[in-house]
Amino acid sequence: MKKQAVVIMAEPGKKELVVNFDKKGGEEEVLALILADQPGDYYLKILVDHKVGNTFGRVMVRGVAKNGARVRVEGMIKIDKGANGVDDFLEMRLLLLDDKSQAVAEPKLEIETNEVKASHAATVGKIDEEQVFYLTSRGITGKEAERLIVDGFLNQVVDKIEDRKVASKVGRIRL
Amino acid sequence: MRLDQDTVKTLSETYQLGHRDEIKYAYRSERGLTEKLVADLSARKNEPLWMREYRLKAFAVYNKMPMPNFGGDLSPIKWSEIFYYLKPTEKAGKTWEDVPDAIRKTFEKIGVPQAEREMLGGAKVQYDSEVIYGSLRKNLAAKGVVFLGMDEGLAQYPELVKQYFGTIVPVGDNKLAALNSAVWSGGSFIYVPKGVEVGLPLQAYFRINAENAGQFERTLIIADEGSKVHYVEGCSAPAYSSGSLHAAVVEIIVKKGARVQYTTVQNWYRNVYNLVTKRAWVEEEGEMRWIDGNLGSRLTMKYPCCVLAGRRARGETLSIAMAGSGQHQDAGAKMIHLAAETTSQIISKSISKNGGRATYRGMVKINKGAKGARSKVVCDALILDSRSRSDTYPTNIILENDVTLEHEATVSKVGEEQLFYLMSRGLPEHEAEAMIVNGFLEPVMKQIPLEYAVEMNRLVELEMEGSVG
Repeated sequence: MKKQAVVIMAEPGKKELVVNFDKKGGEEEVLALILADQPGDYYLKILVDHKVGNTFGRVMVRGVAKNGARVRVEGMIKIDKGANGVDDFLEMRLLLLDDKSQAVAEPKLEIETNEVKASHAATVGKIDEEQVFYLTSRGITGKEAERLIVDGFLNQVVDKIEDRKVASKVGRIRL
Repeated sequence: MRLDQDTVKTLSETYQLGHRDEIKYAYRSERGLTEKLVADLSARKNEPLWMREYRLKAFAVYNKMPMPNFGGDLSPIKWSEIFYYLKPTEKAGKTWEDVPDAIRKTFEKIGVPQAEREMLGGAKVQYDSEVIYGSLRKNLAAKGVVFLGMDEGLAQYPELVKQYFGTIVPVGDNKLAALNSAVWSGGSFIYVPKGVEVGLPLQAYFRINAENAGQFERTLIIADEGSKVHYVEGCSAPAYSSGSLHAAVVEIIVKKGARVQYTTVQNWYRNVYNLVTKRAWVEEEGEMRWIDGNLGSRLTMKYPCCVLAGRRARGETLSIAMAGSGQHQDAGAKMIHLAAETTSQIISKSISKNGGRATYRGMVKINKGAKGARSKVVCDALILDSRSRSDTYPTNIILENDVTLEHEATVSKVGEEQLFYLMSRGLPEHEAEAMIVNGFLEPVMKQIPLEYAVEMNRLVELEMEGSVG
């Protein structure tokens, strides 16, 4: 991937990211992490606008919410008229770690031509109890098991971060 | 709101139900909507006082509410030119002989009497504003099943109607629902008693005949505990250059353990604005299934909804939309999970071609306390050419953590390799493309009762014919 944009939300507030593809051959990956452990609203808005064709994009969002955090992720892939040969995928996955937290996921597509590949996927849920059971049955405490699962979940994005400084900064602000 | 004459001519060649009947209406209101018209409509229908007041209240709400700020372009609708009430005949017929010749011939062409003989438990036929024919098999009537026009329902079962009317879709739900509440006419009233299973589908057919007609049918279905019913609706309209408006409200109550399926084959002519509010209230272990095929109309805005109010209630929507030249299908589904262990599924398949626009707009909301709720949404879109457009606008609101929500969507074109494969085996391009489109729709089509799948496939093929080459 030629370019990479990283968004990290560790405090309530609003963040907006716009990725404009206006040159043919453009490639960009957006990696977003939401670490929501305080009460309040975390609003992340991502717009990927393919103004020209033969452009390649990937958007990956991983978010966890607890302690009464309210997470809202709005992601839009736009492919303008005539922008043939676009390939883009938007993926958002959110984990709700306690029963005080909430999530809104809005993955959107606006496609005005046909020579494209565009898709999105979103999931919202809690930690898989079978995974917790597997780990605890091997002697790991419930709390530790949860931490391992959340780390593994977030690492799906963290491991892709190319800028080491950013990656290590993420390591420090983990939940 | 006008299509040019050439477009009308071309379109009506592929649209087989585009003829109009020259009939003398028993009553036709002035164009436009006034409070006097609403009151007059109620008086002509000899309605109880509460309904008259309900309509007048709804009219006031309608005047105050804003137009929806999402979906398609409503600005071409000339509200003041619409006929809000068109009464074709004095009385609804009990046999087809009672129906005036010109109208009967139209329904014969559509195939309603034949379907009724062969595969239906009952039929209702609405022509502009009024139900002009109705039937119900004797064995169903004997079991206490009620299948009437909404106006007849109000006259014969006033208490039942008063108890439920407007409880699922309140007057102020949206502007078009308020409009319907003010000027509703026709539609179906169905009551299925406890434990009764209606084996054959009950069908309603809606026909708009007049130019600039407004059709505002109102349907109320009550499926009592443990009962089962399948309701089917179809619709068509003549090929006029100026538009008509169809704004229906459908309310369904699915009681404990009951199962209701509602199938729509929407084939309005491409001048009809189809703005419909459909909602079901589903109680414990009840099951509601919407099958929504949108092939016709100029603009459709329709998002059938299930409110899953009881433990283990289930909602399902299967949606097919096809948007051709000049068409915008803004369709989708809503699932509101209020109770524990409720489940829902939405599958949407849309096709846009020849400059058409297909939009999926949906919402899944899982409320606090709906522990163990699960929802899955799949939206696939096919764009057949570079002039057409596809949008996906889903909203997922999750207020409870013990849930599973999955959503996925893809947009693609017909694969060149698939086309090449079929064409290299001697299929002409349009047949190859139609075959691929059929394959794309198949996962939904196979869920639909055979007779309607055949009808839907036929309509898809007709649409495809004019599209390639």
